[in-house]
Amino acid sequence: RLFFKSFNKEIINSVSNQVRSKLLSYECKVSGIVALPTRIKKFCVLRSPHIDKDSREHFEIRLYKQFLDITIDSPSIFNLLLKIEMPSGISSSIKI
Amino acid sequence: VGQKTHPKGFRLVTNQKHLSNWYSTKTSYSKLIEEDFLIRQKTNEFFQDFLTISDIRINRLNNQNGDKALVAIEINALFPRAKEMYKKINRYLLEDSNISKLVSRSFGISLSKINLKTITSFLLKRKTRELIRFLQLITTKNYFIKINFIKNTFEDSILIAKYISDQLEKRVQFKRVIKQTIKKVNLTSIKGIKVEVSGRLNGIEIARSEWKRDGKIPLHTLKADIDYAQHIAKTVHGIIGIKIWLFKG
Repeated sequence: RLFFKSFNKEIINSVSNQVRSKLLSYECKVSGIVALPTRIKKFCVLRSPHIDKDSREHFEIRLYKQFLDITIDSPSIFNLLLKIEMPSGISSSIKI
Repeated sequence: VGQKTHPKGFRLVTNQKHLSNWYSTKTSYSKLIEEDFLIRQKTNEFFQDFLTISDIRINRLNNQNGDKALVAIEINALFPRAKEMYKKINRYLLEDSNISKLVSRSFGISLSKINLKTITSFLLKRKTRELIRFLQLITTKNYFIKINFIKNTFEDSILIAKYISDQLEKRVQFKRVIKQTIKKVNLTSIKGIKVEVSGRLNGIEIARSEWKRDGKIPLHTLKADIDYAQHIAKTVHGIIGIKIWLFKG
């Protein structure tokens, strides 16, 4: 199971699509992209350096998670998986 | 408390990108932010004499196959101009005798304009290597620095702000500076500019703020590409704040 985690939605979508199409072209069984629910962390912060409690500003950070299920038949696919280059801003991990 | 948001922060959804782009888990997130801050501070210090920097972008690649983590720094800066480099190189060579020996051995003794390019690139590479060594001592990671040069100062808001602050510190009249910048920006293909200057302008007792606008600046439309920058000029009478909005299309 190939996990992808990122803070950026565009990157994670494009990377998972690319990996999926690459693995399909090598003819191994890929059960498609599954998106787990995103975790949103919100922060509420006072805008001014001194008083003015009533005016604040909200920030949030979103964690996107997606995974692919792969059945590995031959060792060549395994080597492919280990050599995948990720762009910065996304982390991938493999669970068996 | 003012009423206008930061136009870049407002447009992170559509047009703008974050300046540092990486992923990390909860445990190391705060340490990486501290490192980012240190990197930005040190790059500004190291390249103070040579380049006026507008953007510093940081990308991190995580540990793959047991290697160290890689940090890729991309610097957007103004291309150093010939007149300034001539003066600075003369001063630099007088101070450090080793460099002058290296230069005289490899490039020829006399400094003509053709050799300036090679000398500036040589000094820049030396500075980047110093920076990388310095950062590698503090944080044990591999670094990769790339510098993108911008040709025109009047197409980037941070560079315009630094230009204005230089002029104000030399005690030029602020109205003249604002008119000059707007004239020069009209020569490029930029559709709108707004400049605001506030503080003790011309050294008067009562502070006030003045702004001037030319062209269109639609701050309410989200898909508009607006470049905003804020900078300070430290004068004898106090601090003057400079804000610039550029509408690029």
